[in-house]
Amino acid sequence: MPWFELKGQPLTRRRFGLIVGGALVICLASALLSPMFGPVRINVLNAFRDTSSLDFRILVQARIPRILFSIVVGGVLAMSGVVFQAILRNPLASPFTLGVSGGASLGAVLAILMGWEVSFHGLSPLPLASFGGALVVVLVVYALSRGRSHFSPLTLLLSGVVLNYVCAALILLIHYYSNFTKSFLMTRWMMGGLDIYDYSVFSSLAPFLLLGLPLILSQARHLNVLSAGEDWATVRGVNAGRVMTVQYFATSLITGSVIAYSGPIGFVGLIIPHVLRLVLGADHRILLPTSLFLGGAFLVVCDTVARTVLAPTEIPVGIFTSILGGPFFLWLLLRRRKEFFF
Amino acid sequence: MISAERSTSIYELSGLHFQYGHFKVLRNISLRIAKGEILGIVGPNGAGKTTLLRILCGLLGGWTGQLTFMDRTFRYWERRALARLIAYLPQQTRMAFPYTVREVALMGRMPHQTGSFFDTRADHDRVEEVLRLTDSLHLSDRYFQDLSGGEQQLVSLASALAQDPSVLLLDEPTVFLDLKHQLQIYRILKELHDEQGLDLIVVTHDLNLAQSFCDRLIFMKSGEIAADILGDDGPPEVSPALIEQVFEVRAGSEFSPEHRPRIVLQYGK
Repeated sequence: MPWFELKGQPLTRRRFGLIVGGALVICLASALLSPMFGPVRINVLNAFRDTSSLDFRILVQARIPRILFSIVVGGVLAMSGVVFQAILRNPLASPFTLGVSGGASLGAVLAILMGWEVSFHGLSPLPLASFGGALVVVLVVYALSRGRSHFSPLTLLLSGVVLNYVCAALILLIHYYSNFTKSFLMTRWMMGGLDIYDYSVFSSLAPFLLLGLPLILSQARHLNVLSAGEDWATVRGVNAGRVMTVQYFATSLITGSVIAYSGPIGFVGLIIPHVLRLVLGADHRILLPTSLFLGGAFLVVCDTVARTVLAPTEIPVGIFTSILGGPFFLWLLLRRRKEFFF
Repeated sequence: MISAERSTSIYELSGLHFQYGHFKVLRNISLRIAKGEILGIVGPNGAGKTTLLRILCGLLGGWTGQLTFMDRTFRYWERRALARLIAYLPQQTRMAFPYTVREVALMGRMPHQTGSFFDTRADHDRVEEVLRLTDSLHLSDRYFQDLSGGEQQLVSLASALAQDPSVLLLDEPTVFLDLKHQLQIYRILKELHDEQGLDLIVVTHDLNLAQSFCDRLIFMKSGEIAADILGDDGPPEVSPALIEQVFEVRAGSEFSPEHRPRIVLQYGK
């Protein structure tokens, strides 16, 4: 018997510390190793020795914000994926299933059509429009799925999927009325990207993350009890409707705020929750924090590979996560078929 | 005869009504459920049995009338406080994610865990105890989804018992189980009732089992109580005429080799 079993054991403080601490170490390691790689090789030690060097400027103005942003995006998408799968009780759900990405894309595409993509005075209208789009869809989906008495996962799923289709149709319509340049910009936005050169992004995201992440984490145990349905949770003293509503809005808002800057990056929010559940078990007290750290690490690694493998050309990271994630996911599925169940 | 033990009531219902749209599911239900009773609720499909049970669990709102639980108006009870007193066992449980048996049983500790992120020693001890009580301690590290239907139901029962309830409400708890597990569940329930004073309210379709297991039987038909039979130091006696009236089938009764009355359905004309 190995000295430490990753899953199937009761959660203790030591166990929690080892697993979540391990995830944090992996996340930090990916963040520290990643700056060494890129289309231009830089010497990190040199950069710090001479703060006027090009190395330093590349490091501080391009690599570091990009890595930090990758951690935030990957972490938020993976954790939101865990939550969406839990409240919909559906292992195929992702943060984008309920139309957040559709709304965000529609908002962004509309902003590009109107020529709002240029930022002025530090305020960039594109992420605002994107976040606005996401917010509208989140509210509409909620209003549609809120029945007379409770909040049903099935109607939530249906209204989310329908809203996604409506957004996709409107995006196509906007493409149809755009010129080639704008259409190209729209397509590029929808591929997703992590190239930010401005630390102000983090201060815009901070309020959402500081409010949303603790709120989501504080209900980890409630999400466990919800896995067997609302009745099962209700008779155990959990206000299932309230937990689902809080989790739905908290994850939708942090996802919406993050993808307003990154664009929709697929697969992270689907694959990381699955892999972690397979490796660590289904306890959300473990899953939520580890998904945050390992989702971040995953995206840092993907992005590093995506911008070096065909250097100087970069592959958009969203395409890369899918190319890398798809086969890996299938391999896991086939190797450990018995442990999945749909 | 109402004995002294039965004088305290857990539930009191008076003029309880419930309707879905214009369809009246429960009409004017008045009922007093005493402590120490094993109450069986029987009746044809659509009679309102499950609706009544769900109201008593606090799973269904929107009813009108008077309902008190342990001498306090039901609406004044906090959800968590109720969960420490009332547990519920559904027909079957499906987990959306792979939890181990121990984790499923630990979910029953939820109403006792206020603000703590980790499970306490006491939680683990209680879980071990209820798993032992339900003959499922040896399954602790198995995944719930990998168990047979009978084993799953035993584990669900363990999770309900981990709440330390004083009343357990059961909705056709053995309908999907084989004979061995049916008897096992009812034996465990009987032991819990006799030794730990757990009150039981069970909705079932198995009349013979209801008759031998329960102290009191309520027959429901079209949202009303058609008969309320209290066994007097023995199983409640059910007449074939009542079965015919409530279920609209022809029935007879005979005595089993142990001289227990037994309902026999009569086929054909």
